[in-house]
Amino acid sequence: MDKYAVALENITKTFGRRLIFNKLNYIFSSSNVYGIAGQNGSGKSTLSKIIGGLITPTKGKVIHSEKEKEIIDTKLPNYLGFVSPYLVLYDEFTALENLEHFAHIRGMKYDKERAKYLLQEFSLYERRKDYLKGYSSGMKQRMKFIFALFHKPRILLLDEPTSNLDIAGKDKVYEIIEREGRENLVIIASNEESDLALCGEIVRIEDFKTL
Amino acid sequence: MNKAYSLFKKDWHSELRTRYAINALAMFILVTISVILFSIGQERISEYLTGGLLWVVIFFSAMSGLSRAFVSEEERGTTMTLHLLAAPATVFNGKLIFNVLLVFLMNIAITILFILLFCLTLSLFEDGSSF
Repeated sequence: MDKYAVALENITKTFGRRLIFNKLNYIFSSSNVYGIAGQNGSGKSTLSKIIGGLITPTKGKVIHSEKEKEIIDTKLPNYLGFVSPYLVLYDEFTALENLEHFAHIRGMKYDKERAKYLLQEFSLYERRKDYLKGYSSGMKQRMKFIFALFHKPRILLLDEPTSNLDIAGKDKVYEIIEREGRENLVIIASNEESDLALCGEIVRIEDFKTL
Repeated sequence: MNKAYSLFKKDWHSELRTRYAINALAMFILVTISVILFSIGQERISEYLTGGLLWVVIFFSAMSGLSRAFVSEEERGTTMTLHLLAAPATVFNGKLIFNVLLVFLMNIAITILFILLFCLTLSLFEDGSSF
Protein backbone atom coordinates (compact mmCIF):
# COMPACT_ATOMS: atom_id res chain seq x y z
CA MET A 1 0.00 0.00 0.00
CA ASP A 2 1.27 3.51 -0.84
CA LYS A 3 2.63 5.62 1.98
CA TYR A 4 0.23 8.13 3.51
CA ALA A 5 1.50 10.90 5.75
CA VAL A 6 0.22 13.92 7.63
CA ALA A 7 2.70 16.67 8.47
CA LEU A 8 1.88 19.27 11.11
CA GLU A 9 3.99 22.36 10.53
CA ASN A 10 4.16 24.91 13.35
CA ILE A 11 0.55 24.41 14.34
CA THR A 12 -0.71 26.97 16.85
CA LYS A 13 -4.29 27.21 18.03
CA THR A 14 -5.82 29.86 20.25
CA PHE A 15 -9.42 30.45 21.25
CA GLY A 16 -9.56 34.18 21.93
CA ARG A 17 -6.64 34.79 24.27
CA ARG A 18 -6.45 31.18 25.46
CA LEU A 19 -3.58 29.21 23.98
CA ILE A 20 -4.45 25.57 23.22
CA PHE A 21 -1.08 24.51 21.78
CA ASN A 22 1.86 26.30 20.29
CA LYS A 23 4.26 25.48 17.43
CA LEU A 24 3.29 21.84 17.18
CA ASN A 25 5.46 20.03 14.64
CA TYR A 26 4.88 16.37 13.97
CA ILE A 27 4.77 13.85 11.14
CA PHE A 28 2.30 10.96 11.19
CA SER A 29 2.95 8.13 8.71
CA SER A 30 0.90 5.15 7.61
CA SER A 31 1.39 1.64 9.01
CA ASN A 32 1.38 3.03 12.50
CA VAL A 33 -1.04 3.90 15.29
CA TYR A 34 -0.54 7.27 16.98
CA GLY A 35 -2.09 8.58 20.15
CA ILE A 36 -2.98 12.11 21.19
CA ALA A 37 -3.05 12.37 24.98
CA GLY A 38 -3.82 15.18 27.37
CA GLN A 39 -6.07 16.21 30.21
CA ASN A 40 -9.74 17.06 29.72
CA GLY A 41 -9.98 20.35 27.85
CA SER A 42 -6.32 20.23 26.81
CA GLY A 43 -7.15 20.33 23.08
CA LYS A 44 -7.12 16.68 21.93
CA SER A 45 -10.37 17.04 20.00
CA THR A 46 -9.26 20.41 18.63
CA LEU A 47 -6.07 18.83 17.29
CA SER A 48 -8.09 15.95 15.80
CA LYS A 49 -10.37 18.42 14.05
CA ILE A 50 -7.39 20.38 12.74
CA ILE A 51 -5.80 17.20 11.37
CA GLY A 52 -9.11 16.25 9.77
CA GLY A 53 -9.47 19.68 8.15
CA LEU A 54 -12.67 20.40 10.09
CA ILE A 55 -11.27 23.55 11.66
CA THR A 56 -8.30 25.67 10.70
CA PRO A 57 -5.32 26.33 12.95
CA THR A 58 -4.59 29.90 14.07
CA LYS A 59 -1.10 29.52 12.60
CA GLY A 60 0.69 26.77 10.72
CA LYS A 61 -0.21 24.20 8.13
CA VAL A 62 -1.47 20.62 7.93
CA ILE A 63 -0.29 18.71 4.87
CA HIS A 64 -1.84 15.39 3.89
CA SER A 65 0.11 13.44 1.29
CA GLU A 66 -0.03 10.11 -0.47
CA LYS A 67 3.07 8.84 -2.29
CA GLU A 68 4.62 12.19 -1.26
CA LYS A 69 2.02 14.02 -3.37
CA GLU A 70 -0.03 16.61 -1.49
CA ILE A 71 -3.77 15.99 -1.23
CA ILE A 72 -5.90 19.08 -1.79
CA ASP A 73 -8.53 19.95 0.84
CA THR A 74 -11.51 19.24 -1.42
CA LYS A 75 -10.29 15.65 -1.98
CA LEU A 76 -9.67 14.99 1.72
CA PRO A 77 -13.15 13.56 2.57
CA ASN A 78 -12.44 10.49 0.44
CA TYR A 79 -9.20 9.75 2.33
CA LEU A 80 -10.45 10.41 5.83
CA GLY A 81 -12.47 8.34 8.27
CA PHE A 82 -13.52 10.18 11.41
CA VAL A 83 -15.20 9.01 14.61
CA SER A 84 -15.98 11.28 17.52
CA PRO A 85 -18.64 11.80 20.18
CA TYR A 86 -19.78 15.05 18.52
CA LEU A 87 -20.32 13.43 15.12
CA VAL A 88 -24.04 13.03 14.41
CA LEU A 89 -25.51 10.86 11.66
CA TYR A 90 -29.01 11.25 10.21
CA ASP A 91 -31.54 9.97 12.75
CA GLU A 92 -34.42 10.06 10.26
CA PHE A 93 -32.76 7.44 8.04
CA THR A 94 -32.12 3.75 8.61
CA ALA A 95 -28.54 2.43 8.80
CA LEU A 96 -28.73 1.25 5.18
CA GLU A 97 -30.22 4.54 3.94
CA ASN A 98 -27.48 6.49 5.72
CA LEU A 99 -24.77 4.38 4.08
CA GLU A 100 -26.38 4.59 0.65
CA HIS A 101 -26.70 8.38 0.80
CA PHE A 102 -23.14 8.75 2.10
CA ALA A 103 -21.71 6.61 -0.70
CA HIS A 104 -23.53 8.60 -3.38
CA ILE A 105 -22.57 11.98 -1.89
CA ARG A 106 -18.94 10.83 -1.89
CA GLY A 107 -19.34 10.00 -5.56
CA MET A 108 -18.89 6.27 -4.95
CA LYS A 109 -20.95 3.32 -6.08
CA TYR A 110 -22.93 1.94 -3.16
CA ASP A 111 -21.26 -1.36 -2.23
CA LYS A 112 -23.98 -3.59 -0.75
CA GLU A 113 -21.53 -6.31 0.17
CA ARG A 114 -19.29 -3.93 2.12
CA ALA A 115 -22.31 -2.48 3.90
CA LYS A 116 -23.41 -6.00 4.87
CA TYR A 117 -19.88 -6.94 5.97
CA LEU A 118 -19.46 -3.86 8.18
CA LEU A 119 -22.97 -4.07 9.64
CA GLN A 120 -22.32 -7.71 10.55
CA GLU A 121 -18.90 -6.89 11.96
CA PHE A 122 -20.41 -4.26 14.27
CA SER A 123 -23.43 -6.44 15.13
CA LEU A 124 -25.93 -4.04 13.55
CA TYR A 125 -27.08 -6.20 10.63
CA GLU A 126 -30.29 -7.27 12.36
CA ARG A 127 -31.16 -3.60 12.97
CA ARG A 128 -30.12 -2.37 9.51
CA LYS A 129 -33.65 -1.30 8.56
CA ASP A 130 -34.34 0.56 11.81
CA TYR A 131 -34.19 4.35 12.02
CA LEU A 132 -31.11 5.65 13.80
CA LYS A 133 -33.31 7.61 16.21
CA GLY A 134 -34.23 4.25 17.76
CA TYR A 135 -30.59 3.24 18.31
CA SER A 136 -28.89 3.32 21.71
CA SER A 137 -25.79 5.50 22.18
CA GLY A 138 -23.55 2.43 21.87
CA MET A 139 -25.23 1.40 18.62
CA LYS A 140 -24.83 4.93 17.28
CA GLN A 141 -21.12 4.76 18.15
CA ARG A 142 -20.85 1.47 16.21
CA MET A 143 -22.65 3.12 13.30
CA LYS A 144 -20.10 5.95 13.34
CA PHE A 145 -17.35 3.36 12.83
CA ILE A 146 -19.22 1.94 9.85
CA PHE A 147 -19.56 5.48 8.48
CA ALA A 148 -15.82 6.04 8.97
CA LEU A 149 -14.73 2.74 7.41
CA PHE A 150 -17.23 2.36 4.56
CA HIS A 151 -15.17 4.22 1.94
CA LYS A 152 -11.88 2.47 2.89
CA PRO A 153 -10.07 5.59 4.14
CA ARG A 154 -6.29 5.93 4.31
CA ILE A 155 -6.38 7.86 7.59
CA LEU A 156 -8.60 6.96 10.51
CA LEU A 157 -9.04 9.71 13.10
CA LEU A 158 -10.62 8.41 16.27
CA ASP A 159 -11.60 10.82 19.01
CA GLU A 160 -12.55 8.90 22.15
CA PRO A 161 -13.30 5.81 20.05
CA THR A 162 -14.54 3.56 22.84
CA SER A 163 -16.97 5.97 24.49
CA ASN A 164 -20.43 4.41 25.01
CA LEU A 165 -19.23 0.98 23.89
CA ASP A 166 -19.63 -2.28 25.80
CA ILE A 167 -16.77 -4.79 26.17
CA ALA A 168 -17.59 -6.56 22.90
CA GLY A 169 -17.74 -3.20 21.11
CA LYS A 170 -14.39 -2.12 22.57
CA ASP A 171 -12.76 -5.40 21.53
CA LYS A 172 -14.08 -4.95 18.00
CA VAL A 173 -12.72 -1.38 17.88
CA TYR A 174 -9.29 -2.54 19.09
CA GLU A 175 -9.30 -5.29 16.48
CA ILE A 176 -10.07 -2.74 13.76
CA ILE A 177 -7.44 -0.29 15.02
CA GLU A 178 -4.81 -3.05 14.88
CA ARG A 179 -5.92 -4.16 11.43
CA GLU A 180 -6.11 -0.62 9.98
CA GLY A 181 -2.83 0.34 11.63
CA ARG A 182 -0.98 -2.29 9.60
CA GLU A 183 -1.49 -0.49 6.29
CA ASN A 184 -3.15 2.85 7.01
CA LEU A 185 -2.65 5.71 9.40
CA VAL A 186 -4.61 5.61 12.64
CA ILE A 187 -4.67 8.50 15.12
CA ILE A 188 -6.45 8.08 18.45
CA ALA A 189 -7.27 11.01 20.73
CA SER A 190 -8.10 9.58 24.10
CA ASN A 191 -7.40 9.45 27.81
CA GLU A 192 -8.21 5.77 28.17
CA GLU A 193 -5.10 3.75 29.02
CA SER A 194 -6.41 0.78 27.05
CA ASP A 195 -6.86 2.96 23.93
CA LEU A 196 -3.40 4.49 24.21
CA ALA A 197 -1.82 1.06 24.81
CA LEU A 198 -2.41 0.33 21.11
CA CYS A 199 -0.36 3.33 20.00
CA GLY A 200 3.19 3.12 18.72
CA GLU A 201 3.82 6.83 19.41
CA ILE A 202 1.97 9.32 21.60
CA VAL A 203 1.75 13.11 21.19
CA ARG A 204 1.23 14.79 24.55
CA ILE A 205 -0.56 18.11 24.16
CA GLU A 206 0.95 19.42 27.43
CA ASP A 207 4.38 19.43 25.72
CA PHE A 208 3.18 22.16 23.34
CA LYS A 209 1.54 24.52 25.79
CA THR A 210 4.41 26.96 26.29
CA LEU A 211 4.78 30.16 24.31
CA MET B 1 -22.60 17.77 -10.18
CA ASN B 2 -23.52 14.14 -9.54
CA LYS B 3 -22.44 14.48 -5.91
CA ALA B 4 -24.49 17.67 -5.52
CA TYR B 5 -27.52 15.87 -6.97
CA SER B 6 -26.97 13.03 -4.46
CA LEU B 7 -26.84 15.58 -1.65
CA PHE B 8 -30.07 17.11 -2.96
CA LYS B 9 -31.65 13.62 -2.97
CA LYS B 10 -30.53 13.12 0.62
CA ASP B 11 -32.06 16.48 1.61
CA TRP B 12 -35.30 15.76 -0.22
CA HIS B 13 -35.57 12.31 1.37
CA SER B 14 -34.86 13.88 4.77
CA GLU B 15 -37.43 16.63 4.17
CA LEU B 16 -40.14 14.13 3.29
CA ARG B 17 -39.40 12.27 6.53
CA THR B 18 -39.07 15.24 8.90
CA ARG B 19 -41.10 17.95 7.05
CA TYR B 20 -38.82 20.45 8.74
CA ALA B 21 -39.03 23.16 6.06
CA ILE B 22 -42.38 22.20 4.50
CA ASN B 23 -44.33 22.50 7.77
CA ALA B 24 -42.73 25.82 8.69
CA LEU B 25 -43.35 27.21 5.20
CA ALA B 26 -46.95 25.98 5.01
CA MET B 27 -47.71 27.62 8.35
CA PHE B 28 -46.03 30.86 7.30
CA ILE B 29 -47.90 31.00 3.98
CA LEU B 30 -51.29 30.29 5.56
CA VAL B 31 -50.80 32.86 8.31
CA THR B 32 -49.56 35.57 5.91
CA ILE B 33 -52.39 35.12 3.42
CA SER B 34 -54.96 35.02 6.25
CA VAL B 35 -53.57 38.22 7.76
CA ILE B 36 -53.78 39.94 4.38
CA LEU B 37 -57.38 38.78 3.88
CA PHE B 38 -58.41 39.92 7.35
CA SER B 39 -56.71 43.29 6.94
CA ILE B 40 -58.39 43.90 3.59
CA GLY B 41 -61.82 43.09 5.02
CA GLN B 42 -64.65 44.17 2.69
CA GLU B 43 -62.45 46.62 0.83
CA ARG B 44 -62.34 46.24 -2.97
CA ILE B 45 -58.67 46.53 -3.82
CA SER B 46 -57.17 47.04 -7.26
CA GLU B 47 -55.47 44.20 -9.13
CA TYR B 48 -52.18 46.11 -8.96
CA LEU B 49 -52.27 46.00 -5.20
CA THR B 50 -53.28 42.31 -5.20
CA GLY B 51 -50.24 41.54 -7.39
CA GLY B 52 -48.01 43.46 -4.99
CA LEU B 53 -49.40 41.56 -2.01
CA LEU B 54 -48.77 38.25 -3.79
CA TRP B 55 -45.11 39.18 -4.21
CA VAL B 56 -44.86 40.24 -0.58
CA VAL B 57 -46.07 36.78 0.49
CA ILE B 58 -43.69 35.07 -1.96
CA PHE B 59 -40.72 37.16 -0.85
CA PHE B 60 -41.14 36.69 2.88
CA SER B 61 -41.99 32.99 2.56
CA ALA B 62 -38.86 32.45 0.48
CA MET B 63 -36.77 34.35 3.03
CA SER B 64 -38.12 32.23 5.85
CA GLY B 65 -37.73 28.96 3.91
CA LEU B 66 -34.36 29.40 2.25
CA SER B 67 -32.30 29.21 5.40
CA ARG B 68 -33.99 25.98 6.53
CA ALA B 69 -31.72 23.71 4.48
CA PHE B 70 -28.65 24.87 6.41
CA VAL B 71 -30.35 25.58 9.74
CA SER B 72 -31.70 22.03 9.98
CA GLU B 73 -28.17 20.59 9.58
CA GLU B 74 -26.81 23.01 12.18
CA GLU B 75 -29.59 22.33 14.70
CA ARG B 76 -29.29 18.56 14.38
CA GLY B 77 -25.48 18.74 14.55
CA THR B 78 -24.96 17.03 11.20
CA THR B 79 -22.89 19.87 9.71
CA MET B 80 -19.69 18.02 10.56
CA THR B 81 -20.98 14.88 8.84
CA LEU B 82 -21.52 16.91 5.67
CA HIS B 83 -18.05 18.39 6.03
CA LEU B 84 -16.62 14.87 6.22
CA LEU B 85 -18.58 13.72 3.18
CA ALA B 86 -18.09 16.35 0.55
CA ALA B 87 -16.26 19.48 -0.57
CA PRO B 88 -17.91 22.84 0.27
CA ALA B 89 -18.89 23.44 -3.37
CA THR B 90 -20.77 20.13 -3.46
CA VAL B 91 -22.65 21.01 -0.28
CA PHE B 92 -23.49 24.47 -1.62
CA ASN B 93 -24.72 23.15 -4.98
CA GLY B 94 -26.76 20.38 -3.38
CA LYS B 95 -28.47 22.84 -1.04
CA LEU B 96 -28.99 25.26 -3.94
CA ILE B 97 -30.86 22.62 -5.98
CA PHE B 98 -32.96 21.77 -2.92
CA ASN B 99 -33.80 25.41 -2.25
CA VAL B 100 -34.63 26.19 -5.87
CA LEU B 101 -37.07 23.27 -5.97
CA LEU B 102 -38.53 24.20 -2.59
CA VAL B 103 -39.11 27.82 -3.62
CA PHE B 104 -40.58 26.73 -6.96
CA LEU B 105 -43.10 24.44 -5.25
CA MET B 106 -43.77 27.10 -2.63
CA ASN B 107 -44.54 29.69 -5.34
CA ILE B 108 -47.02 27.33 -7.00
CA ALA B 109 -48.72 26.67 -3.62
CA ILE B 110 -48.85 30.38 -2.76
CA THR B 111 -50.26 31.36 -6.15
CA ILE B 112 -52.97 28.68 -6.08
CA LEU B 113 -53.91 29.49 -2.48
CA PHE B 114 -53.90 33.23 -3.19
CA ILE B 115 -56.18 32.88 -6.24
CA LEU B 116 -58.55 30.52 -4.44
CA LEU B 117 -58.88 32.60 -1.28
CA PHE B 118 -59.13 35.96 -3.06
CA CYS B 119 -61.71 34.64 -5.55
CA LEU B 120 -63.67 33.07 -2.71
CA THR B 121 -63.69 36.31 -0.72
CA LEU B 122 -64.60 38.32 -3.81
CA SER B 123 -67.47 36.05 -4.75
CA LEU B 124 -68.79 36.14 -1.17
CA PHE B 125 -68.88 39.93 -1.26
CA GLU B 126 -70.46 40.01 -4.70
CA ASP B 127 -73.23 37.69 -3.46
CA GLY B 128 -73.88 40.20 -0.71
CA SER B 129 -72.93 37.84 2.07
CA SER B 130 -70.84 39.07 4.92
CA PHE B 131 -67.36 37.65 5.48
